[in-house]
Amino acid sequence: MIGRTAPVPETLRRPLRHGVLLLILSSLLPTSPAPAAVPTLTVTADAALRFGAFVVPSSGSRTVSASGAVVNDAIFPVASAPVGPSQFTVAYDRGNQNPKAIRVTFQMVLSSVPAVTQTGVSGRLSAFDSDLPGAALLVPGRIVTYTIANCTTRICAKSFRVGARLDVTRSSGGANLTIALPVIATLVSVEGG
Amino acid sequence: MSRTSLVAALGLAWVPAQAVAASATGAAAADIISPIAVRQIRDLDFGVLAANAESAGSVRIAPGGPGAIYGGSAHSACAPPTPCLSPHFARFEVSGEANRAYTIAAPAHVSVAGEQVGDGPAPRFAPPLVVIDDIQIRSASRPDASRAGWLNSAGRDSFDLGGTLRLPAATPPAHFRISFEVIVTYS
Repeated sequence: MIGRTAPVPETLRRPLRHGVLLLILSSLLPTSPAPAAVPTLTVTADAALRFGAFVVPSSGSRTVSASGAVVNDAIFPVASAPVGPSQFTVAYDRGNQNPKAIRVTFQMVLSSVPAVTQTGVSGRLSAFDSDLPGAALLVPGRIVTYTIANCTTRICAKSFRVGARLDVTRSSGGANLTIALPVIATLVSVEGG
Repeated sequence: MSRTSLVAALGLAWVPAQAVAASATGAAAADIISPIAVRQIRDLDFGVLAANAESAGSVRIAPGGPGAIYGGSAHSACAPPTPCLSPHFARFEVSGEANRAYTIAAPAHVSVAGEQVGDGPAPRFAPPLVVIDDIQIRSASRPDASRAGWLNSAGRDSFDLGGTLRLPAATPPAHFRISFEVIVTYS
């Protein structure tokens, strides 16, 4: 046996040939496409609505609009903290790479936003606005409809910014106010594809 | 509608049988800061001074430093019945939001007619123009930061203020008072 290749026994040769043949045939077959995922709708909160840091002697307000414009009333801003509108993204994933244009319509609603009170400081949001076309003024609880037209990508997404006015009343001390901004999106229709 | 056209219509528009909804909760955040306040604990006092008839002089008081340094012809004129007032720097107490930086604004140069305080040995006279320059500030929290400080965990700090008083020649012994504003702001 030394210096020679051991022959494959005849009883093993036939199954081995069949295995090789199957391997070759399988490599010649076209690859079947991956199964399409279930279409999904998602909403993400990309950025918080940042009012920054400011001093309020007794009461005052700061408005941060969707465009980023800031209006102060009876407050004293402290420069160090960032200020800017919140941003949300509504995305429809069609679940496949079909390049046909579709038209996705969804409804979006900003839920009611309660006032918050913390250690002698209370804050209340109002006068919401957005840069979503047709929804310059956002009223909590009121439905906004938006259509993403002619979407040819797998994910059809729309990002929009939301601004608001924060009224603050202070009786003592300071506080880090955080107010939830719940956004709900509902898929209305998908046309085309 | 024929069956064919119904199928075509269904192929063009898909309306989910069940409402497909998603939600996300963003946040609005604001940092409301307690107002900052400054309170004077004691004056900047150059003591009772005089300058010779021939030449001017100066008195320097460093913030946090001991006593006064006299220059030129300026000298302490502490003689009865004038009370002997010891020169010292001013001290201010700052209160506000804990763990916050602040800056101090004060003029670098003050030039006003001094107000003579009390009766000195010399007859009352029209106070000369008193100049204070080289006004220096030293906070307890950041002594090397010049005009800046840091409020501690209790929201407190203090700073000292000194300067150099320029006395014109022939200033009779007197104790002067001038006022200027000091402003603190969060930085």
